[in-house]
Amino acid sequence: MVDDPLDAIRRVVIDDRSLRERLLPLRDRDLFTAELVQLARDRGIELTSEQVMEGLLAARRARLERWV
Amino acid sequence: MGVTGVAANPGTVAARHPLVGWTPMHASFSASGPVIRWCFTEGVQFTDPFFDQTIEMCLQDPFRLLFWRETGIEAAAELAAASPGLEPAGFIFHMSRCGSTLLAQMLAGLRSTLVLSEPPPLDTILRARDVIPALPDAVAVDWLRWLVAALGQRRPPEQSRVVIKTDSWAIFQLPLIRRAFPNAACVFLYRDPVEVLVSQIERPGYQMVPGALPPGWFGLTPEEATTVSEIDYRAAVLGGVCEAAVRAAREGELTPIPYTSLPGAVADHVAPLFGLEIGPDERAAFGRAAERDAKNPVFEFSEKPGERRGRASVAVRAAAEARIGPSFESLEQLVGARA
Repeated sequence: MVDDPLDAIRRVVIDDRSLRERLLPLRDRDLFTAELVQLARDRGIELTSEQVMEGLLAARRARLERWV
Repeated sequence: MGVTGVAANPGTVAARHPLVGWTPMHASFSASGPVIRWCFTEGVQFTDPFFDQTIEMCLQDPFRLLFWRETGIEAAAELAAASPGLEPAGFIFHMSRCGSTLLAQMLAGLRSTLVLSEPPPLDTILRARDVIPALPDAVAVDWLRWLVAALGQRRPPEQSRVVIKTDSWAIFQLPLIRRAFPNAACVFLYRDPVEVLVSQIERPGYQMVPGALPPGWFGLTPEEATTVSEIDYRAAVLGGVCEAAVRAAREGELTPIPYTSLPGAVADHVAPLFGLEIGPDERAAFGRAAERDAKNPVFEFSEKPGERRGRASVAVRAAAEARIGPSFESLEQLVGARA
């Protein structure tokens, strides 16, 4: 089964303090997305900016729907 | 499902538990039990009027929004074993719209004290029996302890205690809370029934939606819950909450605190009950906090005494008197006897 690139980069980033410190200060979504895409590419993960944006939207949607 | 639900990066050596720095932001139930969604909150202070406001602020950061974790509640137990949370000093129960947010905001100004104001995952775990009616007591207590340990992780190193303000309907789960935290003090904030009911008529809370909570808690049958007037339903909710508080106070399980005794009672009664040390600096900070609108501290507190009462209709006054009045009077008597 092909791994979802967003899940793959999530597994890389989530426990890595140095990557977290690189991404956390980026409050602008475009800058954050560009950095994450580059960071994924450096690790051989083909992640697109559209996939990051979709991931952000899905997370926001899940938050809004938490009471439904 | 443990914390391994999200695998650790094999290239790093975890010097501490992977959930240190993460806070439960949401709880739900799956077939195998509670599921916790965690938000990365390292360095974040929970000083907003409500827990969920701090989480919302966190989720403005793309990193925190995208990189959530999801685990079973056992992961909270693992975290608690590796990094015990702050011991709960006290729980703030209340009838709603009665000064409880002010009390929480005043205590949140103490550097020694983490205040968690109505964290939604706590409500979900407290009401686990709504989903799993046969849940054994011991399991419910464990789940509650684990969740509170995860919520109550020390933020600045000088924090030594956590105070938790519950949702108003958590008074019905007081026995569970007492079993889980027998050493924590409990207070119950209450206010003139007409003033509270007017506020709940103008801006109803979640608990005022018929069916949101079991009507039996408020002494109503399911049929009554759908047939009584809106005003009567809301008065019944407030009356049920106060009645539960009266029963607990008579058993010595909590201390009633009237709205009219605020803000002075925070330093004089509540802080000592919670074991919090209050000096001149803390009293001055309390005074400053009391001048702000607790739910929106950028504004000064501007409500004039009796303002809400003046907006009460005849029907509101009658419902408040009939459904909340008796327990309000009992609370007043209990406070009078203590004085």
